[in-house]
Amino acid sequence: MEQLIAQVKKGSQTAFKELMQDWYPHVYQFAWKYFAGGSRTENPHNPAEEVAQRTFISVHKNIGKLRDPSRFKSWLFRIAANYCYEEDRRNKTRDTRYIREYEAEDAELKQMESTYTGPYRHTLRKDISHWVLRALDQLAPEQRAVLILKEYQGLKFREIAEALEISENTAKSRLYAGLQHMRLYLERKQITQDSLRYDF
Amino acid sequence: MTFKPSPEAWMSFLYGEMEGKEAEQMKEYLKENPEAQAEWEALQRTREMMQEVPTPQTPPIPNIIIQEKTPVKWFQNRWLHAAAAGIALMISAKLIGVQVSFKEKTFSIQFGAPAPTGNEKELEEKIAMLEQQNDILMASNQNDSLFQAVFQLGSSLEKLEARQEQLARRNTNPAMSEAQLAQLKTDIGDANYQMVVNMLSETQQYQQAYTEQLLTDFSQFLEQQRQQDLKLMEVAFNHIIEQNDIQQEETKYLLTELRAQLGD
Repeated sequence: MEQLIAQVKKGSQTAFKELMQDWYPHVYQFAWKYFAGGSRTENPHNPAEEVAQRTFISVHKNIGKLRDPSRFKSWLFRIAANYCYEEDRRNKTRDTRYIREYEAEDAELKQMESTYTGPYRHTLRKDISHWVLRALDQLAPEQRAVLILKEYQGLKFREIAEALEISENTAKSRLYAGLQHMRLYLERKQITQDSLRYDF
Repeated sequence: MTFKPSPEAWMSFLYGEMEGKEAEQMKEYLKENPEAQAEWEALQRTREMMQEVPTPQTPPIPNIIIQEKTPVKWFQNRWLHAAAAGIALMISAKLIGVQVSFKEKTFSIQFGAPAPTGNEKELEEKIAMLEQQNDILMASNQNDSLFQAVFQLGSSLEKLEARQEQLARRNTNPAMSEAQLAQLKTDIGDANYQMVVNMLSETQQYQQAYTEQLLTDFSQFLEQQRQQDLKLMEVAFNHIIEQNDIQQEETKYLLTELRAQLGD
């Protein structure tokens, strides 16, 4: 890894391509979850793809400034998180529109559940991932970034702290608050693994 | 037991980043506190549910090609360009001979030899040039009498100014005779008189022509309007006649129908 970064620093396009092959999917997945599974997009714009591309353009441009190659991972996610925050700020109006869509979806679900009381009532409720992504979307951007980096990218607290330029304790407290928020949100919506598991 | 874990400790334990004595203490705490145990389990369940989110399919990795910046060569430096231009300007100024002066609140730069000072010959040249300009402009605007009048007035004023300057200079010349001076004054007076007469005459002619043109235009406009009104009235009458004919036909038809019905 460190050798690869050294080659990229020397200007090797092949090494840069290899680096992208290794890390582009991680950055895309991080951004995809940050933007609630890419569903919060205005067709045909995909913010996750845009964030991933902009991240790697920035990597190519600034890799010379990375002094310690062993910290590449946190440096990479710092760039990606900053582009995610930027994209979020640019789309404030879109966020309000999605909140309204979520409210409409809730009302529709309530209506359906009140009229249908059959055995497969819970099948009305889509799948867990839909609700988890919705719960993630409710979090503050900083909490969301920590939660995704920890839960899905498996970064250590030290790496998260480096990536987001915060202290380890701040990373932990943000994660705690985010997780609690997720738990309460899913409980309020009566989403549990048991409630959504059904056999036909 | 008074131990109560902080949110940070909860997270370290939940994600397996707590070791040794602290981890033992946490396990003990959960064992002794059913509420804490329930919370820990709830958080674990939330984490399990989070794992239900599928890994998205990554779109094709783009081929990012960033062109390297080519270093700027010494001869492409813009400061060098500016310096070269400055040197070239200095050399040409030296060769041409530049005079820089500041007189009577006027800053001037002159290239070449200094201009000669004003004299009689210069004034005569100025008058000749004005007359030439006058002829050219008059020729190009022959159709516009008002322009000619105004231009003549302007031209005469400039001539007058030049003559006055000539007179003033000659006054300072003791060699000039009284007869020459009287002749000059008569010339100026004649020129002024002719100028005013020309201007009034031209202006009057121009205004007359303009008014006549306006009246002609207006009478043509009225005639056109009258013709249009007549046409409109003709069309309207024709329409009324047509309608009348149609109604007559319809009435005849209805009467025939009625007669037929009554006859039956």
